[in-house]
Amino acid sequence: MKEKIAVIADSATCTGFRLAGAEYTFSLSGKEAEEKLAQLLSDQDFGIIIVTERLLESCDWRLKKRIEATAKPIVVPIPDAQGPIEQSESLSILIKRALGLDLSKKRD
Amino acid sequence: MAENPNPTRMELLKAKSRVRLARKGHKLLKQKRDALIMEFFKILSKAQDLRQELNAKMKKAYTALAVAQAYHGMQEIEAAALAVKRAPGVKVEVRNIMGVKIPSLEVAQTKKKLLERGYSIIGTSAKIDEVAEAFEEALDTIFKLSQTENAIRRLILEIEKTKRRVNALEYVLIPRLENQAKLISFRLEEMERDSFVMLKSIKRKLQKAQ
Repeated sequence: MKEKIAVIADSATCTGFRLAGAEYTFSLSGKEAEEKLAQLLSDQDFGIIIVTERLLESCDWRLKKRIEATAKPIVVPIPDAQGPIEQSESLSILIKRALGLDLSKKRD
Repeated sequence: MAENPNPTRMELLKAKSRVRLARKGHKLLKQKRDALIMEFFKILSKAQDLRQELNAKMKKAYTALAVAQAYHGMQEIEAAALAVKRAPGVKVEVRNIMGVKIPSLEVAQTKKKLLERGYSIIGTSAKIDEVAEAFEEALDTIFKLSQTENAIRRLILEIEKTKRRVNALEYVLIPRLENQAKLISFRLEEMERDSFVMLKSIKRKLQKAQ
């Protein structure tokens, strides 16, 4: 079974992903976007939900927890037109905390 | 768990079996942690730098979009977008690694040739093609990223949790239980010696009395 791809973002980003062939684009913001995200999360027909970072950041912490806990659909944050924002819980910080060593430094 | 248990044989047996149980749990958790870390490194090599790649690609896509917008206006782009053929869906499967649910993804081709996109190439210009291509590339990276980054995040959280449990068992719970067992066995030995001495002295007194 094929799962669908959803995009929740500002209208420009939605148009861009539409051009790339994403079928379900929702150009929403604020409370409406949050509600849509929550609704899509419980919909098993969707495989991936693409959300802008800024939107995800402004979400309720309960919703964020739920996103963390669900394996399917996958929620992927993307940068919006204003560029990427610094994530407070970036991967390297998490890795450092869990394993006790900094992998990014070793690679250099 | 009482700090001052009754010094009886029953309590000693109980304490010992509790130590054994804790040791077993500790060993299992340690194995779980190692398995998780192994899985983590396997995924990590795939995930490297995908984030940066996505950020760069998205930036390119937004620039292309802005240029196309300047040429055609938003409406025309949207009109073209409406005509685009839909990308095939993705297939998401959830794998279970030591209790951590990890999504894995199967993707069909997202990149399309110019004529396959579905909007009229006569009515639109190359600018729109560029936008579509840039966003297709970005989407491709998103697919790659989605399975790795998500999985890594989950694995890390689980590793952290397991590690904390292992350490709690190793450095707090097991020593405490062992101490308790030791305490009981000392008390028992002490009581045995006590009663032995008492018996001896009674025996001596009885002999003297005769």
